[in-house]
Amino acid sequence: MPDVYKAESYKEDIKESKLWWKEVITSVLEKVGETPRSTALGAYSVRPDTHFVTQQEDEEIVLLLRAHPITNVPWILLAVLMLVLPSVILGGGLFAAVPGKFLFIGKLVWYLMALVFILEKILYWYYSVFIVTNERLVDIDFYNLMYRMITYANLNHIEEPASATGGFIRSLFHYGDVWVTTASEKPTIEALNVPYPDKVVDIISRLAEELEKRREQGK
Amino acid sequence: MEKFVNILLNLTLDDLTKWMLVVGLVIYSLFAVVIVSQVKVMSETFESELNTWFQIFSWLHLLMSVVLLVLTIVIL
Repeated sequence: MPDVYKAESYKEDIKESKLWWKEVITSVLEKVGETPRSTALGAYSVRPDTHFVTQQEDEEIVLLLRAHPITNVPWILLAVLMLVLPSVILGGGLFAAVPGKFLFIGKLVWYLMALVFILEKILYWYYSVFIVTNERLVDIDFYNLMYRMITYANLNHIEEPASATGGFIRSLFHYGDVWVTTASEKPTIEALNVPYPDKVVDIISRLAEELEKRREQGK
Repeated sequence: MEKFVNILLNLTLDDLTKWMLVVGLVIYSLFAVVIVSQVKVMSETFESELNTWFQIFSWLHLLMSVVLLVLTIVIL
């Protein structure tokens, strides 16, 4: 008598339907010519093995982007200046009349402030990220000490994404801005100074297209 | 009241500078506490191997600011 019901294949179907997005990501990345790569201080991580706040179970990070490291050069120069300044000023004898113990404490205060300046800049750069998942775009921005803003845009609800590069430095280091218009209250979600903006736009477009195809197929 | 006025009148420029520095460093230490909590909030944003290091640095910064406050009171 032929089998009317096969439990195993049913389970496989369920498993397959649950993991369809993994195949979508793999195929999209293959088409774009990207392979998974990630470094601790990298600005362009593809399929990094990490999780973000509010990530769902059936969601995987495809791209984790932050501003290109070269954008940090201005504040690094300022930090170097802050660290060198006391030696230059004190070497010139400007504070010769000030008692030694006051100079000592003054120097320590100055270096502590320089340290916190560097720490703040690194934190803002490191934690302000733009994440592309198989379902949505997530823009995490830190504006000041305790103010975090997270913007989401579902890939089903985005319009055509756009990128902009220009200028000598941006062309030389291959970074620029990405804008994605949405139909929500905040019309544009943006990733500023991210590496390879054209590739980012390509990946976002292809992911959105794949999602649209599945929706049309009723999956 | 008279005693307090006497203390104020006997304040030297060094004393004034010292206590202004102390007040400034107390405020700075509070700011360091804010940074510790900020780093905690940031670390919750996404998993990273550097999260622990940033938290250690923020606590070290708080420790340094408190040590500097104590040094200012003791040395000056």
